[in-house]
Amino acid sequence: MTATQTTDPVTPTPTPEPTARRHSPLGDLAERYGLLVLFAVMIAVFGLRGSTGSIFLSHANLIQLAGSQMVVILVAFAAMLPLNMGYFDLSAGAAVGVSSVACATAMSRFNEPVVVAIIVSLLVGTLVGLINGILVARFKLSAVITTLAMSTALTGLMEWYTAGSTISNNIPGSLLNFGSLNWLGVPRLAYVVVPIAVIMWYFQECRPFGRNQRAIRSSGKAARLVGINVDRTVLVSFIAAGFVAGIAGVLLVARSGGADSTTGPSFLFPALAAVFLGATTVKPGRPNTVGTIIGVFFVAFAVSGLTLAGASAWVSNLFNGLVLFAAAGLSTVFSRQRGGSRMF
Amino acid sequence: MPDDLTTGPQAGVALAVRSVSKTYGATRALRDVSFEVGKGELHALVGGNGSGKSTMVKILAGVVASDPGGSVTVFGREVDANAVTPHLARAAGLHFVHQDPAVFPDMTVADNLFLGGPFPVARAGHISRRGQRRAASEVLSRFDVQVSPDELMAGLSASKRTMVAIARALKDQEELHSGILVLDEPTASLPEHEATALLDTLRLYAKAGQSVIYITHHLDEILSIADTVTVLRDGRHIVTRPEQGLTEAQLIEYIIGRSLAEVYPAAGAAPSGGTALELRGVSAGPLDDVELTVRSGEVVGIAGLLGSGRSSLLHTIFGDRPMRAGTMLLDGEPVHFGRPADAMRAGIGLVPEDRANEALFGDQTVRENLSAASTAEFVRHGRLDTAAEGAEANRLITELGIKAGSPEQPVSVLSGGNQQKVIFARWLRRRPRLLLLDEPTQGVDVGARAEIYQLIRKAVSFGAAVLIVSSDFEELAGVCDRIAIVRRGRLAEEVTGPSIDPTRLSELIFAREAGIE
Repeated sequence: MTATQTTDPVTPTPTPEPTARRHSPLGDLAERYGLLVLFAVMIAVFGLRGSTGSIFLSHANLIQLAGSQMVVILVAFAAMLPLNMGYFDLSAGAAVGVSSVACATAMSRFNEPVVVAIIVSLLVGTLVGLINGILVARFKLSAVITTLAMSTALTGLMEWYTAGSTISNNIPGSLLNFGSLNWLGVPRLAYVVVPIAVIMWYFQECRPFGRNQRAIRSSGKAARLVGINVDRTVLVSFIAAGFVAGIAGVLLVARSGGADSTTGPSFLFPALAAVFLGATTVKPGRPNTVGTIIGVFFVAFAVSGLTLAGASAWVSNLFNGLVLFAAAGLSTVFSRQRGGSRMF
Repeated sequence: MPDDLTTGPQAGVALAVRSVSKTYGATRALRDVSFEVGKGELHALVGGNGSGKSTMVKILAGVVASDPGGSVTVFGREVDANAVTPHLARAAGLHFVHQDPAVFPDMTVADNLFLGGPFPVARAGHISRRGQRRAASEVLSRFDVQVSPDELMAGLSASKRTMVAIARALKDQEELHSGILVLDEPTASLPEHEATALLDTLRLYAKAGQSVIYITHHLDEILSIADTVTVLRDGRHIVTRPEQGLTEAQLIEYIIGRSLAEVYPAAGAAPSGGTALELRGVSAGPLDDVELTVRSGEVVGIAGLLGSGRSSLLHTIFGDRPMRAGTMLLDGEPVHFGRPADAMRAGIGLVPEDRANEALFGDQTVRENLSAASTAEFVRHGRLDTAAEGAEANRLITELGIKAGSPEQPVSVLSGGNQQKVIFARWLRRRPRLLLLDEPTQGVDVGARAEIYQLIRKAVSFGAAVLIVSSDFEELAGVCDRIAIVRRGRLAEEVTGPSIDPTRLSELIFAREAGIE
């Protein structure tokens, strides 16, 4: 009713001044680095736990753990790119899967050199991202549904093509060495992942691109009205996510010496858990690169510690689920404190 | 057409309202209002914004409790006005159709008719499609709505949709003359020919004995179809009288409380500066064929009722919505904007009406909100220079007197007025040549309002052209050099210079073209 909406145009009801929330510096610090403290406590507990403690903290275990998380970090980056805008990408794991299968197939069945296999993997990943991006940005389909469908379809495709087996014949030793050996005491894969992390961080924190992504997450309409090309930003983000998934596909083949239909998709939930965990630290309330890396290692160390302490394989899924709950809850709390809404 | 549509008006009183008052805190929305509505009467309830007519409707509907002491009598059954409940109102035969009737566009007419009501249920307990169709056809034919029950609501014209909503409100009423239909601005969002179709239907209902209370802002409608008119002003009952013999001049006088002699606009002073924006035959949203110029250094207002398409016009100029027809010229050059970024490059800025959803990034800092429209400007050596950005934010905070603890505070903790100043600063720092303002002081406290008016003047002082849309006539009169009046999807006329005053604006908005010659 018109008349009540503008009851009296002359004297509007003054908007009450909202009480500004004061963050104590200490509380702010605890919020920002709480996860790191928890991480340290966890390492201490597992490390000092009698017999298994020494194994947990052994150089071999740490290097093994770090090496095995390189692919997960890239999957988490792939998931994070659209999540920065509040768009879910549930196909990140499956995109890594098909890329790895394509990469392994090129070498194993078509005897292509490593370089060609890498290009194939990157193209496949980017194509997946492009299709996602077009469907979401151009045709305005829901990102969750689009990427869920994409993930399911890709998984089916992989199952058909691999027929349940692992493609591992004929993969050049150079690639396998790259996946399993160290340089200067650091897994060789890290020499790929660290530069990518730096690039991710640069675009997210130092370029208008990251700012634009956050503006879109905050309000797509407002973003458009300050001149941000929302559709293009969404499209580019999904394509970049696909490209990163393609790189992850190569690293997966290098690390595991082959490709099958299940490994790629299995990375999705640890990766999502890591992104959400990461959104509770460093830049609380939003996904961020450094936080995501911390999140990946937090989950990996926790699962490793629990496994060494005698827990069975199921603990990994249970833990990922619980972490997702806790992280989604905490990051939402932090986001609300900053006047945002639910984080995703 | 069913036979009972020809029964004709009957004698007697359908509704009697006596001594109804309503106080909201210190505001008296209604003071001792009494009036009667006859059976089979088409009764127009009229008044300006804040006159109390909506409060009256809410009391009748039982949504709002009146102050104790009044009474409402429906077909001879008297109840205390503060004891009316939605259930009681319905049982007494009062049926309401609100301004934007809740219709579900992707469901069929039949579904829409029975949503919320009892569905025709088959013996097995499920909704009987066939039963529903039959019942729907019966209701539609009883109220003479010529649509098929299987049609999707989305496919209907706006007037047909409203008619379906009316039929839904009336469907459990047996006879056309046994109830009272209350319509809140049913034609507000309808184009003229659709409005006429709807009014014809109402006319038929009234002839058949249906009592209709009908709220509207369109005086020509009242004069052409109402039997009786009740005017409220500032919560007081001014008059209830037959339409017969009522002139538009008198009606305006009732509504405004001043005589029509003072309506006519005097010629205004010609503003200086070259033409910044020119619209030639622009059609956008509900507006058709808009001709408008805004000069540099000039503040032009657009006055009109809610939903008249004022906001769409601004969004269209800004490239956010497509232009259906016409040409837009900026500094004499024809321009076309595919998206807001294009308009921004051309030096246009928009402060949208819906601050929370269309302007603010609530979870981001004041600094980020201030630079949101110029992020690229702060890139130094390949990266965002947040220090320079922070310095600029501090400068703007000081210069515009934004009350924020620091640029790093989330913008959501600021008061509405200070948030709006942040949005203004975002655009003013770009030195726009054309600034589009949509309800710039909505939800802004009195103190900050004055400061925002200062900002508008400031923008003008550096040569910007300002186009401002507001429902607040006082505000328009206060800040504008020239005001265009929107009526019925057109820019009807312009008021210029010192002759602008808020009362005259409401008079013009209520007036009919014919009255202004």
